Amino acid sequence: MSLLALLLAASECAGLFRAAAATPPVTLPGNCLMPVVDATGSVAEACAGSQSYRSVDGATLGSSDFAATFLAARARGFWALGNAPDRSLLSIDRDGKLLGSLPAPLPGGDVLQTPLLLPDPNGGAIIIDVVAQPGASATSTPSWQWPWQVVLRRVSEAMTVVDGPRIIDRGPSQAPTFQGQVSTDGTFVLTERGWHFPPLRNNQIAARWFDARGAPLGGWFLALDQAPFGGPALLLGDGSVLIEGRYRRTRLAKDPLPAPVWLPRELVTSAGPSVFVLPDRIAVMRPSSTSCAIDLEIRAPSGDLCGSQTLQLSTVGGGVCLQGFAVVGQDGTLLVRDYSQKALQVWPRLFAPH
Amino acid sequence: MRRTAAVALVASICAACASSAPGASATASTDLPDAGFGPPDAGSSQPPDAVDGGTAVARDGGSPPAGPLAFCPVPGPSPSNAAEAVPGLSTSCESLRLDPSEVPAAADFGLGTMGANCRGATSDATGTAALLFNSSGSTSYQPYAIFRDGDAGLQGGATAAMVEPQPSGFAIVGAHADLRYGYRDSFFHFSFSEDPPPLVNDQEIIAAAPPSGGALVAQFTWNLDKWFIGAARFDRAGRPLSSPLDLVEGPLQQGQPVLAVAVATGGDGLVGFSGELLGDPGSVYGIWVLRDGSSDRRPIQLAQAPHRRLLLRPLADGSIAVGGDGTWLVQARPSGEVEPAPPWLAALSGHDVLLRASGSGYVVPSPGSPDRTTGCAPFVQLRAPAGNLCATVGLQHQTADAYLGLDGTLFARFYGLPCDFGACCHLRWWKGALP
Repeated sequence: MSLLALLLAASECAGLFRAAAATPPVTLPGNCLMPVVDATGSVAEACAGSQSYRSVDGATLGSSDFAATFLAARARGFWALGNAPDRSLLSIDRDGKLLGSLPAPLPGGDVLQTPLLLPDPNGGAIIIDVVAQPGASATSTPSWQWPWQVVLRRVSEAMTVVDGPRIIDRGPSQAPTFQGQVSTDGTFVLTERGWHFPPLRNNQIAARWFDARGAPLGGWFLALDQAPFGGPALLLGDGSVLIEGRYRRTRLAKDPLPAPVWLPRELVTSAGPSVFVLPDRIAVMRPSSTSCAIDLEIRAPSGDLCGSQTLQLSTVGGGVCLQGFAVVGQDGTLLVRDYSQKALQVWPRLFAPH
Repeated sequence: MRRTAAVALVASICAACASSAPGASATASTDLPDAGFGPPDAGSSQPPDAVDGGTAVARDGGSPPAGPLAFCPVPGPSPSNAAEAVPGLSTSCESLRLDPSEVPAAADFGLGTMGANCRGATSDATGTAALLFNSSGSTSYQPYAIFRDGDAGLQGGATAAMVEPQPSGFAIVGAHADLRYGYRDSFFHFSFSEDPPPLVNDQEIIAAAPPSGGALVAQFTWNLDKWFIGAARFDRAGRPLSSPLDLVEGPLQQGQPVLAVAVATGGDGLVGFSGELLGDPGSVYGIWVLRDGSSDRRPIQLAQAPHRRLLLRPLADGSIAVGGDGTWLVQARPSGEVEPAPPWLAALSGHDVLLRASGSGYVVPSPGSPDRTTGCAPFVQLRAPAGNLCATVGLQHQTADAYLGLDGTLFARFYGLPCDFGACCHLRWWKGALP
């Protein structure tokens, strides 16, 4: 590494490490899903039909009873999917207050298919519906053979539709089920198995970029070969999107590029996500070789390694090491949720921007 | 592997054989390390754990078949009968010898219930054996292989629907069928490669390997418009010789053909398929893929009858035998010629025909009922390169099937023998018996 590169790396890494003081483990209800944390430090958990909201420092913020599951956190509050009495997309504030809802799916859409909600890093969200309807002369054809349309709506954080609905793509039959990711510049990519888009095949992943208003930026293209399933797995700091299959991955920066070599082989382990891309750093977590700890690797947005540290986990439930899913919130808080022991350990704002 | 006699006897005269020792079971653990035989998928390649009664659990000790496991002669056509021999090929039976004193390696498995079974076996040129299983229906009949060496014992396991032996290691078509793996897929890779599987699919992949190593792989792919039959050749280092080729394509509405592959002794390979994609589902076609990975993609009609089970096997004269629904139909040559199956082969309906890696004859699995007087049950026919019968070798226990490895290891699978619970799998193998 040249002196200049060393200096740049040192500059990128400056201030990324800080003392790692965890709160004592707290006992929580069981039957909860993975918590999400917004940029204000509100921790939201959906547990058996109700939701709780607390600050990363432990203060209770509120509760709700929406029969909902959280889809994502944002700068303030959360996106959620409500399942009762009708399926709807919800916007919930940091204390559980309902900010707005949107029936899902669109009229004519498949009631069994959940619309795709893509949080926009710049605020709001894009909602993608796939609507299949019989053509004028094809009312007798089975529904899976109906032509389909992709409909975009952009919503505010109050779940108000601020753009659309607008048809952004269409196909002749066999409605796709898309995955997607909004990039840092507001463009977004949709992916689906390649067989929907001849000449691509069943063992390929197809992708297509759209601008922020849904205008296609080119056609469907081969994103990942020898991959019968897979999709967006990570938004990287440079706005490119990591597409991952079972054996292969690629990086889409409008066109396919090699995946960064520093990415670990497993983005998701049995203990949950292992890579978290934050605005000013990347955190890579692995179970530690020492007992009851997490090995933490901090990298600059460029991927350069800044350093590593070991975080000690608490013991709970009579001396059992806390183990479970790690989550990094939008405020930089690290949580480790142990489901069998119903315990949560929190490192408030460990990765907060400096 | 213990050898108690260095002198090989011609199998057909082993009526005088002394009894060989009972099968000596190798000890194996149920903890199956990957040992490099799986794809680099962080554990997905491992066989299912022995948790649901659907996975092979090796037994210790002298399990069945109990007592001597001796080769014995089976009465039949004169071993010197050369009337059926193909002119121009060797009729010699000299190299077709089985050592009656050889003590076979052994493995006995309790497989549980719900359809678990063992499917076959093979070995690479170093003598490492691959034993093939399906786990039970409760785990979606997950196919897997256990690799073991007669001397060193268990080496590892992998998901494996097909295993084709290499000079060292195996070409493997793996399949994730068990729901614990999440999405179901099939994938082709080499056991000795750390690279991602070069072919991954959610449709059928099949492979065949020449004795020199490498493989011919064929697979289906599809999209909204069409089915495709594609092929790819790999060298003995596991490197692709060319990009995957589309050999034939046809409308999706035509339905999925049946598929088979084999590599001829000269190295060229044949991909056989039923003719749906060509608008002729009542026929069987083949396209040659040469040893360098190229192909003229010219479909050759091999048979004018519908067949739902295709089997291609290399023959000693450099052609490939084409079988359909248990009948040997024709032989296809790399030149493009198609000829009727030779009489000796046509007479072997219902039998697989396994060409020895050296090309010096065939092993024909011929399991049959034991003779009431002698107790000798037919096991395999040994045939010269010209196809003439040299001997029918029996065993003192009825077999379910026989398999031949690249190093000449001869495998016997037994059934109907007691085990603790559910299905049993008993395998015995004579390492390097018929190279």
